[in-house]
Amino acid sequence: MSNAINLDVQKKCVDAHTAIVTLSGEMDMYTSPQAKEAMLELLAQGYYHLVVNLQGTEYLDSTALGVLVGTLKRVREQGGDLRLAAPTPRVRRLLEITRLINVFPIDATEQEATAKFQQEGNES
Amino acid sequence: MDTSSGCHVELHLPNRPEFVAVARLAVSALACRMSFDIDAIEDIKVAVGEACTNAIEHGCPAEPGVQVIVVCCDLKDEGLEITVKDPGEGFDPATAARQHRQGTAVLTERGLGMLLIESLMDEVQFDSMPGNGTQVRMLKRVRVLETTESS
Repeated sequence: MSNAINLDVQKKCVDAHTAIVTLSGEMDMYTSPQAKEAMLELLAQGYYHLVVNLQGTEYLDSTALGVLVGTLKRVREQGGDLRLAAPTPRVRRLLEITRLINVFPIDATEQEATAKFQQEGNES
Repeated sequence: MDTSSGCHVELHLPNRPEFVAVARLAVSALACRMSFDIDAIEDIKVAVGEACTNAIEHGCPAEPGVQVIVVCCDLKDEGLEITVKDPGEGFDPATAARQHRQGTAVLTERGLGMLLIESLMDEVQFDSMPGNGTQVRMLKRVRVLETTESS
């Protein structure tokens, strides 16, 4: 059984430290390792400012939230951050229940999230 | 009237991660036959997914694909009752409940599943004895829409 049909993971590098990970489909116990691997690869390449685009994430569970939290911890250890972009109302509700809504910076769009990182870079 | 009321459906699934999607899709298909709205069906999907994930992770971790988790669905007038059983080592529900109540006060990568199940379902009961497997019984009630009759 291929997990490619359930979750599509796309990576896009914006600048030397910022990258966008777009997660489309269903993110659960089976497919979350794909997303984790993609984000760990970016970290290994020095991308500590990550935008995770959740616009196309139709389903997300606690395993997926665990992957996002784990990645958030790692990027913050390196002085970076992880911003969630365009979560659906459904995903937003799960973030509220788990109170992770107070942990992740959340933006309405991918462009807004990358602009925040670039703004922070200019200010520092 | 829901003609499916009183039906009992059982799924026996290998304890492998790819079958969690099978469980949640099958149960959501049953929920679609009842008078649940889309949000309630999504709640049920997440809760079933979490219960199956727990069963695979903690209930029978040693031999993937060998042991079986059982998902029982009872379609009732009041709602959909789902029971997820695993044959594993069991756990102390009181300890687990205490851990999940602590929630994300400490930023955690684990333990969010039980919090989601309890938040999304109307009734949840964990029965587990160390060495004797775990059973999670969940109920989602059908909401009766209030209608205003015009005179």
